[in-house]
Amino acid sequence: MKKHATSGKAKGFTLIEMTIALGMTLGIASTIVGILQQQVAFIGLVSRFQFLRDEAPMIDSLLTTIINKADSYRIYGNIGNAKAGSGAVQEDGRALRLRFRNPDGTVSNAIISFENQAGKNRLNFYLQPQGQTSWPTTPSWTISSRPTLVDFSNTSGILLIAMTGPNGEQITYAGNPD
Amino acid sequence: MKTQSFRQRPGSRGYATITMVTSISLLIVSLMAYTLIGSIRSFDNQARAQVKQDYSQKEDAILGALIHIVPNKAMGAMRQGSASNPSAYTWDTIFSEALAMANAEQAVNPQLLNSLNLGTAISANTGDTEFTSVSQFVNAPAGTYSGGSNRVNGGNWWEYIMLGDARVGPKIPAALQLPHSTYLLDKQYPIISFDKTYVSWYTKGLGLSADTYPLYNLIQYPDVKFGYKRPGEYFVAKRNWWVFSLTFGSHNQERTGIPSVTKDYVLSIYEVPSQIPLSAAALMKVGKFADGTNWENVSLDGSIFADKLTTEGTVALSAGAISAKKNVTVSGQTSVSGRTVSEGFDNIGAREERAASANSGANNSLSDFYDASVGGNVGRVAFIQINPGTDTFINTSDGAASERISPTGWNAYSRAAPKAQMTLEVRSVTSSSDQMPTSIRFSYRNSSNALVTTTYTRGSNWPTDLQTGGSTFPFQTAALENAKRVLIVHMDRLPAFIAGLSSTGGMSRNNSLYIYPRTDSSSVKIPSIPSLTSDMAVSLRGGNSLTAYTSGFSLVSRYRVYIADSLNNVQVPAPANSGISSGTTYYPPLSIFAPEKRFGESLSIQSPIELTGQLSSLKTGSSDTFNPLELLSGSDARVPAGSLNADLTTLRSPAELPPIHMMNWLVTIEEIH
Repeated sequence: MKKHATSGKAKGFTLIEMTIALGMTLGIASTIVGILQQQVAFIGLVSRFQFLRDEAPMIDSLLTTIINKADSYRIYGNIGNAKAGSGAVQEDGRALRLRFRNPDGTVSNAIISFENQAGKNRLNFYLQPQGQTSWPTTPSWTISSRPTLVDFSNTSGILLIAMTGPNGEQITYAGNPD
Repeated sequence: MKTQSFRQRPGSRGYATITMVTSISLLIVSLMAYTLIGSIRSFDNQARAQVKQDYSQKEDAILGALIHIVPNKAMGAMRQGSASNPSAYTWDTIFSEALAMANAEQAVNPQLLNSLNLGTAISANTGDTEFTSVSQFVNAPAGTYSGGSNRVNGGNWWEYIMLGDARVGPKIPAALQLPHSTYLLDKQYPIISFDKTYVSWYTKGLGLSADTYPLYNLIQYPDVKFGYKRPGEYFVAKRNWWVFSLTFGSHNQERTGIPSVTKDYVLSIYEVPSQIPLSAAALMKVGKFADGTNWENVSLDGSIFADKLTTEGTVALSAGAISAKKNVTVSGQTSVSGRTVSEGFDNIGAREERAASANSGANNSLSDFYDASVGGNVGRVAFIQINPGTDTFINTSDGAASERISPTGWNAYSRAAPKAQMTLEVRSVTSSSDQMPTSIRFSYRNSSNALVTTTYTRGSNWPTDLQTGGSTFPFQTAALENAKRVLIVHMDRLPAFIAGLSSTGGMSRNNSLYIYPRTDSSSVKIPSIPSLTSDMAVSLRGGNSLTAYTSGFSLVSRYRVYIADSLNNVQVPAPANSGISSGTTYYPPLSIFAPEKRFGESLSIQSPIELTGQLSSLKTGSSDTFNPLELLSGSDARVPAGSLNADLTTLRSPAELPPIHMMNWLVTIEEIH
């Protein structure tokens, strides 16, 4: 009878060892895939809130600064009415007309308007400098082009500005001129 | 038995696994880093936005404090003794105190912050500031004529660098003229003084010639929500103003990374002579008499103002506005220009909603002004009544000019008695129980504006009516039906008497009279308030026509004043260039400062009373009720509603301002945009 020679060291793995190794590999792989999915989902979530996270504070800061400087405001359904100064509303406003009065009694006006320009939604700022009676046809500058809807209202004595972001997220600012 | 063993292939050392694990790890780390950076950026954005809002709130708190501090400092600088502690009234001190007042409201104790390891954090609390010097956040926007660092540029002609500054120059009101010595004071302190006047060089916003009306002119009421007058309406006033720049964030810009923003503001103190139909520094009730009877035959053509205001019955203002310092309680029949003012008009939210729904947005007319307002609830505005109460009948000195900072003393500014050009002192009376005057000391202004004093004594140089010269002498005595002793001022005799005096200054200069008792006599009594039967009184007679009183007339006295017969009942042409249309009703301006007035002397006859002009009260305090038409006759009975016809109007021009009048201050802070 021929004997198989055996060495002192194992040259391979047993089936059980392989089974365990494969099992562990599968487990680790599943975990990694899970973590990856979680990371991707988290990044997606973060991206969806990018408007609220990055853009909204800056818009808030700008609007607060502008509105605080104003002496009074009126809400209008559209920029046309705001420029004409007629048809003020208390809700469903898309334009906010602001008045800035100087110590000598002279006045300049401004409009913050949410409007669609060339197929793109924009929150624009129009300035009518002191002494002028006509409004510029193009915005003085754009505050943001990220919101898909901006709603101005005052039904409770407080100016509310509700903004909807690209992913349907909403944020509402409240305040009045000083 | 054959067994199979798995062997490691030569050269296979697990590199693929290492690569895979490394790649996956890098991917995960990258994703986490992306998320982390995004979060940090988000926090940074929010922090920046918060810091900007924080600066804005801190600015608001300081401006709100200034509104209250500056007028008090201006008053303080006019008081005797202020020169001994001038640092208390400087602009530096004012801004420091404004900062401290803002801090006092909401600041967090630095020790508490340190205990929380937040000592280096930028606090968002309104009052928490890190300024070590006022110059870090407030400075004059332009250089000054005399150089040096300043907190403010005053609104006067010496500040021509600021007046010509491209940033602020085109948006500021008319500058005032003042002596150079006063200008140097105005640079350091908020100076209110008669030395400041309008000048024809700077007439922006003035309704009348600055040469004709230098002290008070017609200017437009500012567009503030507090309605002593309506925004844009011309009113008689002088506007003292100072411009300053506030800069927040420059001192810690390196830490925040946020560029600092400088804003320019104009702080104004309007000196507003009392000029509306009804005003009081007490609780004023209008619409009904004290016994509940409705007012009749009363027209209110202008604003009404009080510390606290209550309307009862029907109160209809044909123009103007309703305002109070503390609160307004309105009846259901209160209206302004036909618009009903309802209770609750000033509720939180109601006023803002009403303003937002005001659908009258023509260009430049988006005012939030309403027909009624309460001073404490409207932004950066303060309205201060300069009402010394019964002290106004006391001629108290302000001491030497060197004892105060302002060239104008507070008593001379705020009290009626020191303003009178003529004085009459009751030197002696029959006895302590009979206050019939027997000797008076009369002073008038001569052509050099110096006081000339003469003592008139019965039996010597003061003839009675029946004695030679007595029928033209303007001051006589009598006993009324109620046995009250009165000193009679014959208004019809006074102009000729003044004209006949040595080196007289004429009636244009001698336009006011202060009658008072001597205080160092055991027999001459200081009259009580209310007047006792034994107290002397003053009676005005012969005043039907005051046409000879070319600059009007004012009477000031602590004594009860009887208006014996018609007073100021003859119209005269309105002065040229006064802004009053020729042909319209105009009477010489007249004011009477007395604790008590009686209409008529008789105990039995009550003549009808036609009252035209303005009524103000010296009462102070919210518990002191002023019922403006509660007029009493010579018998101390209330003038019946049917006998009273009141046409209460507002001043149209400084030409209608009597020589002595009550004063108010309107304080505002406006940003230059």
